[in-house]
Amino acid sequence: MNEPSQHAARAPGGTLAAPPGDPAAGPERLDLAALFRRHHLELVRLALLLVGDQPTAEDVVQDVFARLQARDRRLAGRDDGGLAYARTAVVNACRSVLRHRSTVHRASAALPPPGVQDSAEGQALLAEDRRQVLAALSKLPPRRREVLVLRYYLGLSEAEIAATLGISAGAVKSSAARGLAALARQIGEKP
Amino acid sequence: MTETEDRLTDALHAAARSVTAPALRPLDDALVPRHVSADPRQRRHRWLAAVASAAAVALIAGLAVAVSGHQHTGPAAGAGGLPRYYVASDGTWLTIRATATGRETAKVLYPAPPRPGWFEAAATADDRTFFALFEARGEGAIVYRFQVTSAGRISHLAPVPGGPLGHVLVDTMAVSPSGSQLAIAVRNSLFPATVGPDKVIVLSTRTGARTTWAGDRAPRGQDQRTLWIQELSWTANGRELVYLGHWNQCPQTPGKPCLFSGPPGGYEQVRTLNPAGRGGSLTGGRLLINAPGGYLGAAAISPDGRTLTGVEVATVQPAVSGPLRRVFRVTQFDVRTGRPLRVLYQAQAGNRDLVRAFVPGPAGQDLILITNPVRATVNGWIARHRLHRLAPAGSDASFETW
Repeated sequence: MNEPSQHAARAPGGTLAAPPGDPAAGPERLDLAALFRRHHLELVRLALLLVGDQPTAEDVVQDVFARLQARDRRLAGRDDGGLAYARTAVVNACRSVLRHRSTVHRASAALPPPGVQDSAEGQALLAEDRRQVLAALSKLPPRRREVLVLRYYLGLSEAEIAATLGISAGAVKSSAARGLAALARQIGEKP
Repeated sequence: MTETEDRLTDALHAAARSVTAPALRPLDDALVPRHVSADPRQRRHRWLAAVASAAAVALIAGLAVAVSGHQHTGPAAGAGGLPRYYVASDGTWLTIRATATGRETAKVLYPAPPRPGWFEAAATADDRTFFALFEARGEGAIVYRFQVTSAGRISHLAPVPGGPLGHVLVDTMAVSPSGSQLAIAVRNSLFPATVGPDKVIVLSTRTGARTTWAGDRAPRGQDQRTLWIQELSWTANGRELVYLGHWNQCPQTPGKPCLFSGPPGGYEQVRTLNPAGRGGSLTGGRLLINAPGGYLGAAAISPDGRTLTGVEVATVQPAVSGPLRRVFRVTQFDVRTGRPLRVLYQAQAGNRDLVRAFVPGPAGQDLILITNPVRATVNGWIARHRLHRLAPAGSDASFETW
């Protein structure tokens, strides 16, 4: 399975090293191509874990990149190459999708819980115990779910999660603790 | 790390690994001009072109519904037998709009604080009387009746007799042409759905009396499945009620979420119910259409009961060569044989298109609202093989009826 490491392009501290010799890189514009090349997969996976299906996740990320393209000048000069902004945009877009879905139950009823893919490969990869965890995760309030995904999938620090979600570090800590406790209750473990 | 944290990390990474080869092609260096102009404006334009090209290549097939030609604005109000007004909702407001111009004529908050989630509305044949159904906080599902005046204002807004329906999830609703009966498909849980099939309640809007049909058993010889009812419609004489239902395969363990919802292994049926009956089994009526799961997104019986109009989202193989494409197709079926009679309209569809509303009009026009989670909507009515866009597009509407 050709799977690039999800953190391969991130320098310590979550910053993105400028690609050497990239003609598009410059102080006046965002290097969207580099951002796409290095982080598209990671962002699709993040969206998948929040919205639950790959087509929507891809739609969300593509939409975010389209918007980033329109705003590249405003984002120019960010030392993380726009990754933090893109991540926040993906989380927000996923939240919008879920809110939009919830307004019409037919949509949500037809969709699998986060992380459960329809493909045979997806089914094979997700054993029953993992499904149980993901199903429990899908029942958490959105904020707690987002915090847990950012922490345990992306491995972000509390400060990074706070910046991504636009909340305080204390709120991240309490959301994570409550989310984990709820998760443990649902899957029958001690937190 | 605790055991919960370990399991969560493992599950998240396992789920993430299911995305291995993105369907979206990354921006390729080859798409970026090799000779970048010194002029920043030109550079920007070329960059735009590169991104646009890449986006065009990369967008998964049919992200947006690209409706094929033949789009017209609406005729004068009331012309051609069109309802003069239609009702739209974004989940917070009820909005009345003129069909011909899209002009907003009235906008009111729900009569009781709604719990965000779902909303249904239905209109009677007089083009004036509407019913709105939503979940009021603390009360459960509740039905209101209101009228739309000739100036497009809302009047006589009042709850129908019979009280709240309880804390149920409403899948769909349809009102009999006379307005004397409401058919409502409900179930008891929210996403992720626990096992529990839909019920159809027929509610007298005069007395509040209810009759219930339950889908608690799959048809004989079939595996245990869960029935979700997607659409209800009435014949003009009010003697037949027709539903489109999806039988989905779900684990039958109480309390377990239905992980395998959706088309695989499922199938769908269009059946009739006798609304004058005493209730009973949802599978007791006539079977009009039996199809594999994922075939029909909506279906409604014609007023004379002879034909059925369905919205199908299908993958089409080109005649010669080329990629598969998705289309949504409005097809008329013969109720007697279940066979398709004619295609009324067809257009390209997006991957995540959802049929939010499909409501037959009084003179053969079908109101249709199809949304995509991140893309533009198809919002208009179909008549004479053309989509007539409602103006404005009503992109904020999550439900519409007329």
